[in-house]
Amino acid sequence: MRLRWFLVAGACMCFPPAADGQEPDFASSLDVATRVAVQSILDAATRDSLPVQALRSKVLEGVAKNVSPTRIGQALAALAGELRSARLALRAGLPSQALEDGEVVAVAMAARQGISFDVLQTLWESRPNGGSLEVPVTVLGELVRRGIPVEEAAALMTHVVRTSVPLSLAAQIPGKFDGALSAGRPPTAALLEALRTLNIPNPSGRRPSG
Amino acid sequence: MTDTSDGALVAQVLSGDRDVFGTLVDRYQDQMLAYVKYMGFGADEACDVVQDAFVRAFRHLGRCGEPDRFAGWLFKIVRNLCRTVGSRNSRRRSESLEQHSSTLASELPGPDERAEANWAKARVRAALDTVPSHQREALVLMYLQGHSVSEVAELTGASRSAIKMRLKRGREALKQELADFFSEGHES
Amino acid sequence: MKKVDDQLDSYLSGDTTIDELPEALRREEERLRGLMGSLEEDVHAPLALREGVMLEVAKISVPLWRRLADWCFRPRTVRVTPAAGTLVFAASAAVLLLWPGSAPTSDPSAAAGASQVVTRFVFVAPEASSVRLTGDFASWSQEGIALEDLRGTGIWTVDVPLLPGIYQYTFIVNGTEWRPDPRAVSQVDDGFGQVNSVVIVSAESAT
Repeated sequence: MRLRWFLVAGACMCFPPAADGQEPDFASSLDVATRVAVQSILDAATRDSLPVQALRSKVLEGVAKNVSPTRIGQALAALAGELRSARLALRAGLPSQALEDGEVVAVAMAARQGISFDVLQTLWESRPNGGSLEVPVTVLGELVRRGIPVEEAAALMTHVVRTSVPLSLAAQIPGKFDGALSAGRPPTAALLEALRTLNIPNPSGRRPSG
Repeated sequence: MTDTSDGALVAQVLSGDRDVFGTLVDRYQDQMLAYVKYMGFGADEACDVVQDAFVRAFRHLGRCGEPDRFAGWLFKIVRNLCRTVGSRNSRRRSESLEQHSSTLASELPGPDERAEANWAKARVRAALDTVPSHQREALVLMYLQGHSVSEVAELTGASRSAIKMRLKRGREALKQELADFFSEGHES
Repeated sequence: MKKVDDQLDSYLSGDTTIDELPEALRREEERLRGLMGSLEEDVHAPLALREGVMLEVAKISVPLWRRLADWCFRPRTVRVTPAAGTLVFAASAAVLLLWPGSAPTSDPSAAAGASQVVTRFVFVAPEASSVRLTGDFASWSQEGIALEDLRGTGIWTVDVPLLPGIYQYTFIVNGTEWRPDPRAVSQVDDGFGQVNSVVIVSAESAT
């Protein structure tokens, strides 16, 4: 009997509670191998104030897609690294600014497009009130991914933020741009046409050409 | 032909025909509602103010000295009520989205098209919000409701020169707030 | 600048028309009219307003004393001497100065928190027998959220209330095929060798 209890206690000690301890359901929903692969990464992320929800979501995604625990761990480590870099850049550039998880994720995704935080910083400096910049940063990344020069995309999104363009409009810029591009417009003209379609004033004041 | 001027309708109401008051309500409710909304009230509160104003007008209809100028007299009641209630922030309450019907009209995902289509209007309204209330009132009465400077002066009880000054300052303030709309190359 | 001010003054007084203004001022005035005019069209009182007024009106009984008071207080044109006018003015001023002011009205409190945005997801799959949606907002559950092909056209849709944010998602067709959304604003590497679609759910304003 005593041995049985020792074995149970030992098994419990092999699976320490998550550092954040806030979602026991998450940990318990994972198989043992996946939990082992991801737990230390999640614990470190929690200690470093990374967007843990985004990381947990990635784990659940991997499980749903029947990905091996090792591969889930690798993807998670990579994502955590991106988020860590983004958070460090934000903290260095805006030392006294409160950081939203969504903004950290958006900055990390923008970095995948080669957009450095130096470029993004103007958005933070331009917002009139404390609204989230998750959407403007994401749209900026999408425009760069579509071939718009970084400086031009950043100037446009700075203007969007400064003039409080509704995010539901700003979110449509990439799609409208795609439509104009597929109609044969060159990229700069396609962007201007997208802005005109959405009735967003052109920050440069130039008339659309082409 | 039946006389349907404001004066005639007021006289009928005063002689006991209350239903006729509904015609006066129909005639001026949109105009009064527009004024109240542009003075910074949210939709629901604006309706309450206008409804209250009409009820007060009915109650005190006997005091309308010039029944043919019922609109101007009513406007003063509305204006005074706006000042009493004075609730600017009610506009910034978010309104809940309309429930989508189960009938699907479009195959494409649709953000709130009403919000997007009215964004330019929202910019103008937001700019109006930054303008001091006296200037805003003058701008609304002149540019939206089509009154002359003299008429605005009469409605508000201010002098013509004061109204002109308010209009000039209000115009400058709007131009600053909406500078990108006034820049070269913008298409409205 | 003084000349411009005079010209504007003259225009506001109604002494000159907009066409008689110098070009820059005329363009400015036209733009302003256009912007203000854009506000014009959309104010229509709801039916309930009129109904509310008439319901209240029906309840009001105006007693004889009130009708007499109204008659007494109805403005009329009178002639007064300067002395009498001064006395009346002074009495009115005294009344106004001594009248208790309106109680200050506190501003209503701001609305609480962000509200959900109904977001429509669409997937065209005429050959499918089932289409489900899963993603960040569904904890990537394999069961996900079922889309419906209401008209039998192969256009599958579902409306999902979501808080503002950026979400990754995908469709599961016939229970087994994971397919991205070709209409999505973006596709991103999921880290597992596939792609996820991205939806941006936004509140109305950036601030």
